[in-house]
Amino acid sequence: MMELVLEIKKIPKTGLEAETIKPENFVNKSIKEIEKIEVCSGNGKITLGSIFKISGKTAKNPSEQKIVIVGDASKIKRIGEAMSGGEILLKGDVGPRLGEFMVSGKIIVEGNADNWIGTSMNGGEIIVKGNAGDYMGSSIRGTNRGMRGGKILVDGNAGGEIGYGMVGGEITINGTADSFVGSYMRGGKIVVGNVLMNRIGFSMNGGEISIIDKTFNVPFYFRKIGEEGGFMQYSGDQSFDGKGLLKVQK
Amino acid sequence: MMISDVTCPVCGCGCDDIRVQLDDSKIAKVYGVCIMGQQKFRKSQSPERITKPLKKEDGKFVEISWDDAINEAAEILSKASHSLFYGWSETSCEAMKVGIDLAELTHGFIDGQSSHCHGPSIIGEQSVGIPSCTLGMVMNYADLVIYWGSNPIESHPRHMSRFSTYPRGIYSGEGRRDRKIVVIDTRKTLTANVSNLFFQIKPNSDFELISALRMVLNGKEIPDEVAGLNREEITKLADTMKNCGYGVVFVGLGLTHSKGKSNNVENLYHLVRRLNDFTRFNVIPMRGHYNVAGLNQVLTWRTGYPFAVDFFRGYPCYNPGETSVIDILARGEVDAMLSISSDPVSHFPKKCVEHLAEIPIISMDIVRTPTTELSDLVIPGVITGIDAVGTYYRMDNIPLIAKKIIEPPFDFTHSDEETLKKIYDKILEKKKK
Amino acid sequence: MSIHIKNATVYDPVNKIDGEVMDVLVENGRIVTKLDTTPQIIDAKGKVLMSGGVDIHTHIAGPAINAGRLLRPEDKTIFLESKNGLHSGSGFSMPSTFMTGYAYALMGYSFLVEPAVPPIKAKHTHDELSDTPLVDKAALLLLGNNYLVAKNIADGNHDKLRDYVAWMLATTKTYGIKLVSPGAYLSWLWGKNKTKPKDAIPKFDITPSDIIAGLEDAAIKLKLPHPIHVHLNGMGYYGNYVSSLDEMKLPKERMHIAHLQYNSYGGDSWKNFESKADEIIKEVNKNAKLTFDVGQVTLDNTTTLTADSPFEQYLSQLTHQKWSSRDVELENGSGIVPYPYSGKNSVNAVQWAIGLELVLMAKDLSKVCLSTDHPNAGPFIRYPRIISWLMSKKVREKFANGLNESVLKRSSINSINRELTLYEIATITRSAPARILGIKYDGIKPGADANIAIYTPDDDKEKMFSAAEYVIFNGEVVVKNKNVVRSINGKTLHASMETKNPELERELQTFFRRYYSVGISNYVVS
Repeated sequence: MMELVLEIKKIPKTGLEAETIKPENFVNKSIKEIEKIEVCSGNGKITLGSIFKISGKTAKNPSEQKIVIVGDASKIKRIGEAMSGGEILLKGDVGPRLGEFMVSGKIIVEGNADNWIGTSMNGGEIIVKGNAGDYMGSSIRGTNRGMRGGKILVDGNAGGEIGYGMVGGEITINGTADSFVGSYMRGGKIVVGNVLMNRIGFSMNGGEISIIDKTFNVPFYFRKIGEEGGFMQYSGDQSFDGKGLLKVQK
Repeated sequence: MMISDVTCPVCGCGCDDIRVQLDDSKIAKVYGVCIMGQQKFRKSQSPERITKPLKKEDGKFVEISWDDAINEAAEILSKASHSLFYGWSETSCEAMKVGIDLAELTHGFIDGQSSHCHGPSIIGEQSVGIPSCTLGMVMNYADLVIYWGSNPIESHPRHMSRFSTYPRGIYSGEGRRDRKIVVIDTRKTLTANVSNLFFQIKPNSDFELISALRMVLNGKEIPDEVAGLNREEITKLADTMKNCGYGVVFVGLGLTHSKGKSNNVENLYHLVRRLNDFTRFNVIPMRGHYNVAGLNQVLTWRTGYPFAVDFFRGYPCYNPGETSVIDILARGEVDAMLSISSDPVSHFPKKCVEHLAEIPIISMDIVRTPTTELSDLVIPGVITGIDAVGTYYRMDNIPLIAKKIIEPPFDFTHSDEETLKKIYDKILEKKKK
Repeated sequence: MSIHIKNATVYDPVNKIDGEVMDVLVENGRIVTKLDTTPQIIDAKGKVLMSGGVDIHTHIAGPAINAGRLLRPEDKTIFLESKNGLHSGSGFSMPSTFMTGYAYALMGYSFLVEPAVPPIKAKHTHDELSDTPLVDKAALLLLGNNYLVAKNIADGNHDKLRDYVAWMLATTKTYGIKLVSPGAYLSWLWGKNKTKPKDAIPKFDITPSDIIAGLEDAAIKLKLPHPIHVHLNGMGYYGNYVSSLDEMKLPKERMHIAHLQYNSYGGDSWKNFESKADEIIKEVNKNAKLTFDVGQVTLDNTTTLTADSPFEQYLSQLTHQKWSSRDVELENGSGIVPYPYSGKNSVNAVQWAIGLELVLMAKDLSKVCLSTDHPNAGPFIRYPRIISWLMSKKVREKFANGLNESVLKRSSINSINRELTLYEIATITRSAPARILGIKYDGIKPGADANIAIYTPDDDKEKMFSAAEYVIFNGEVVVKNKNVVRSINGKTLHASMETKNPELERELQTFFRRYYSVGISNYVVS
């Protein structure tokens, strides 16, 4: 892998959207050319060169390109949007809308991530070592068919509205989620340590949610159907005959 | 002189049957209006009215000329890289149009009170859709009226007498006797006292109650107790809803602001959609301000989105939670604000107000508020519906024209629309230089 | 401003000009015979010139379309950036208002009809129309499920009905009468989900046929320029061609049928759904009283929005899509349901064929108007694509090959050889709708309003009509080199009505006081 390092120098106070930061936009370019790439900020455009100190190497193919972002990127949105191939490593925190519409490749966040990770993801992998925010692996507003493939893993805790409209793929949260996990789920798999407020599987009609914490209180709109492999099994959302599967560790 | 068919510029009832007696071009008496309306008409002529533009210099307000105020406002907004135009619920649609033009010109944000009020209702609507009706249908057809998390006797005092409870309509000729009024709330409100059925639920359990009702309608068994109600009560409520001829739910902030927020509303809309398999059933969100729905309408037809619009890419973008006023202030993404007919400093979370204290604020208002006190520039507002004409949209999205009955207490401007146009033209002038 | 267009090839059925090469002179907003000032020259050699397009049925402005825009943030897959003094916008099947005006102008249109105004919200429609630039407009008033209309017909008060209709048109500043599944919404309010032309409407004891007859009678007495504009009962349901034919035989003098494609269905289930365009067009061809607009399905992810509340509820149950509905104050209903048409869907493929069959089998194209019932059957930006299907058998065959085989089995589209000419396209997009509307429309002739579109010919007709080279609106160049270059506002026409029935006015005052939630003086559009 060829590694390109973007060290944060100065981020405008009002933040910026940098959906151009993904491996396929950097391959076959010189560092000078990459420095000239523009991103949206405030009511104008600024160059990547004004935000980052850029060093390292670029590859010929996206799958061989790794981008390392050093510093606090919590004010940078839309990194890795619709990414297909390669890797992005964020050494610190990152802003909202990370890896939305991702097709393939890998994004790793060593710090904390924010809201809207992997919206309507099709493939690839997003790993967050710290905590994540709300609306992870969800669909775009107005729709209830979202993530179709790929994997999201959060080592810490996540917020609410996880996997809204999930059709395929996997979401794993080792810590806790706040509430509303797997709303409108139709397929795919969510595994979560615990959900703090037991509102999960709202309008669920397929797919699987697994809760590791044995003390999780199953909502009444899930009906017990059996047990298997150390997990109690429930079917719901019974508000409308939903056929989603909820598993809670015994 | 008595003027009739006057409109009241306070709440979402948008009453248009007010009568005002003028003596010597001043409001002497107002008839037919509720206590909130009385206060507004009184306030329009009180000594509290802001009558001169004010600029903050060395921590104190000094009076400045109108032209200087327009120039100062244009200067602040021209220098900003991401300005916010916020408020709108108590001004005219005509003013809103100029506000949208301002946001588009400066590539800024525009948002209104609905963002943190019935925003969840709108988000719920975008997920499921909403069967709804106008208030006249409630008057004439409804035999079941449910107030869910809403206490109209205190929030919209004339709502029950004008629309939902007492009127004798075409198919409700017996008035009160032809209707069942149901209140679902966490405490026994004044409205609950005059209802036929009151269901007191545990706080933050609306979501569970709605799921239980849906299960009952689908013939599923529910636990003995849900949301603080027992199975019989929930079954009775479900049967009442299913067996009515024409039902209407008025949704208040009890549903939109308790835990779950837009999910509560989404769940309710699923329930109402299901009820339409048995009978006619509609939902009307109880919009608070008299023109909060107006911003949603005007912004939607001009940009495609109802609130929380960000123009910074040169075209409208919408993502509540990202482009909405609370979030952009909390994240510090705004570097100047124009607040019109609103008082964010009083109502917003601490983190937002802390950020507001760091950025220049232009406040257009009619009296001094905590927001005007934190502002760098205060511009006198004109009251649409009292000292200016303007279009507004009632809570059921019916457009009405608010009347002008007296002159504003100054002559440098005649409407908020005019004021904003002057600021717009000034910004254009500065851009050309 | 004056303009001298040189050597354009003109197609103008209004004045029977079929491909004649001529100069066109424009000054002070009109086409003239000579110019008094130095003109801007437009070299139109080899280019096709037509007068401004007329869309007789397009949902572009008002509470229903706006509720649709609000409902679907996900519909914003195309955006317009603000620049050069023009506004920004968003929306694919339901563009925002400025974007709508610019997009229609780019295609060479100059007159649009918003076909469904709920009377109590007429101010909203007018407000949106005034934000729709670069076109002239008119709007039609929903009356087919109106309480007072039904009551007057039930009581046999035809003169009072006439005066009430006049009062309503004047009060709401609208242009003509619209009926949407007359009686069906009124019946749905009392639990009746499907209404046929001779069914009794609960609480009124009249039938949809009575409402059509009553309102046609009023239109005739009031000498309205446009006939009753009718969305027939049973719209959208399989097998509806039978009831459609019943209603098509009703008019005494004239009836314009909206989106006729949606009422040309055979079969007794979705499984054996088939085209009955041949039966329907047979009736149109022999009945001089009928005109129609197509409602051509374009097979896009679009949005249905109609005042046909019961049908929209049915569609939402069938498709499980989100559903918004509005019951409006004793006047009308409406429903909004997103619909992702697909060529692979056996029903949608046949629907696509039906609209084309109706146009291609029509004997007299002066009765036929191009439309998609925007956005119901597809967004208006697809008109150029529809034109390419109508003008070339090869193009439509190629398209049909990619669809579900039902298109071959359950329609006769591939057996039709007819290909429309440019003159015929100009007929269904200009002269026919203008004549049916009864608006002043003089085509390319001295004295006419200067609304002109100039296209660069192309074998790819979709490309040709997608963007005009030049468009002149009210005598000003508004599109140049296929770009909108300036924005000006058009005017909104309304029927000029005189209402002089004091007894009716008194009755209305009382009725409003007792049963309306707004005051009568606040109901009026000023």
